[in-house]
Amino acid sequence: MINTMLKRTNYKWKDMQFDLSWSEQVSSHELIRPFKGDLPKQNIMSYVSQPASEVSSCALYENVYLGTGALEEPGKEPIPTVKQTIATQNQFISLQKWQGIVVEVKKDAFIAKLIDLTERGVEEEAEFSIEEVSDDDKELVMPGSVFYWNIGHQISYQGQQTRASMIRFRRLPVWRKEEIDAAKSRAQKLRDFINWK
Amino acid sequence: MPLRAEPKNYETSLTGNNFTIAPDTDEIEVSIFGPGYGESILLHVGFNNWFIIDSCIDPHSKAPMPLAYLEAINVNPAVSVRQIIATHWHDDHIRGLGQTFKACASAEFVLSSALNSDEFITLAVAYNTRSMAEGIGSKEMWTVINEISDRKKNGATSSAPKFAIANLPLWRSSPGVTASTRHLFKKIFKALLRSSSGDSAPTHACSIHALSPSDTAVLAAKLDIAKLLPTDRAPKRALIATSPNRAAVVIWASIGEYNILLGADLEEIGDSSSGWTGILNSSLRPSGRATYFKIPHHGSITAHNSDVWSNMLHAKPVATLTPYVNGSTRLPTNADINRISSLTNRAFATTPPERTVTVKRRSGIVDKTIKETVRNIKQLYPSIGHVRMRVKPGGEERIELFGSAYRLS
Repeated sequence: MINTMLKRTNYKWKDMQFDLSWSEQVSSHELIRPFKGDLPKQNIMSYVSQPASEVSSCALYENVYLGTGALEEPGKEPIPTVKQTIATQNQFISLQKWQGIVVEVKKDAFIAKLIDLTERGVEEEAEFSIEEVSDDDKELVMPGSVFYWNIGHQISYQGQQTRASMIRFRRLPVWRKEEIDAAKSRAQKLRDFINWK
Repeated sequence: MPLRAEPKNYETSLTGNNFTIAPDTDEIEVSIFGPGYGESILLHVGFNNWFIIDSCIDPHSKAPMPLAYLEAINVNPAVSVRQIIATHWHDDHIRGLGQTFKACASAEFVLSSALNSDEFITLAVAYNTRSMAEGIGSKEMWTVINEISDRKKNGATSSAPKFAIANLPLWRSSPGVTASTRHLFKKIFKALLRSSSGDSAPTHACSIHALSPSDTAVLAAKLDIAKLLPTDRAPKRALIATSPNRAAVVIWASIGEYNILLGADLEEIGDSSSGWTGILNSSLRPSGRATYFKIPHHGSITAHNSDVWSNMLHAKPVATLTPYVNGSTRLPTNADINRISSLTNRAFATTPPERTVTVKRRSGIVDKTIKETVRNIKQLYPSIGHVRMRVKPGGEERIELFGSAYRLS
């Protein structure tokens, strides 16, 4: 939600991170000023109290919430104070992206078919070392598993740029008995209808 | 004469002298396409009767190769293709099959009896409606099943698929056509007949038989398919069929006195009632020897049976294969090529195996990172080759090579 707010006021999230990291203290007026006119004061709390997925968003929420007086009190301005925080979010600029399907698993490697998502239509096959997969994803490496492979630049919050290759396996839900039964039932009807016998 | 095709929908990257010239009415044609991974065969048995066996994609235009070729030679697939035969359901034989079947509006769909089961249809439904990662094979099968269903809804009388099993006749030229075309053949080839030994008049009568799968192979394959069914609480993944090619459909085509053996991917599995041994042991298979052989399973030793060469083929037949690169498997091996070359001096391949190892060039940064990340990478379908054989009754085969096709021996 905070991201939405920043987008609406043409603020860039990266800029805000920078501001928050290097400001000793930001007054409530300065923090809220960009949104004035867009938002009634009473709504500010509802925006910042939404669950935020990013660490920086949580830090902002905590700092604003803890340092802010009750908005409901008539005639009083909220006085949020923001402590110095260290933004931990990096940016990733993708130069090349594939979707992969594992076709064969060896002792210390796996072979996958790759569909180029950057230049559609090109199909490739590659052999990866298991070491390229994060420990959390290693258990997912089996024939039929789907993953995404990204090559690009990782830019830290300090602006440091590094070349990076990221492999992330897709965690699909498990088959449920109801789904399997529904498929069987539909298959039976279809088989009868088209005379697949 | 071939009917005019519909406005251009499919393109092929193949070119060459005479490439776009259709066969003569009485001319037999076997065209084999292979892009390094996958194969498709087009068979013309005469009088604008075409058969498509399996399907692959043109790597550049992305069009199904059989459709692109028919369009290039000005043949309308909607009226000229009699049957589409899916020899088995592996990725390298079915790419574009759904689109091909849709375009061949009057064609019958033929597939292995191994797929005549509740489990196979359930797989198709489950992986295309609920899996979130269906895979290429299941997508093609789903398109075919839906097309059959649509044809039934639209009132087509013969929309049901035909399931091939050993020694089942799949198609015969109709008697009416037989009589008239026999007369035409005699007229056309009168001079040729006089100059030949003259012992028997050539006949255009045409029949197509399945030589496999055997009952045993069908049962085993059905059990393999049942194992692919999703189970409760199992994680969803793309469907990957890895079972052996025991239930593939081998085709025997008799056109007059000219016989053609299309070996699909049938392998030997050490069982006297299945594989090539099962075919050789059958007393019901059509008699005669073939002059044209599509070598089974990309020339692999696992699909080789020397008795096939000595008992089912004429000496020095025209033999064609398509290479295969998948995972750590590369076919044919050098030993395979040497073996095939010792059996015939007329062997061809759609693509040289080394041509399949091609790396796509990208920006310097991306290429550098790829090299640092993977052990090896190669582009699939880098080029496509086409081996075309045409022959007139009583005549000599004429072999033409297009794209990356080359001569093995």
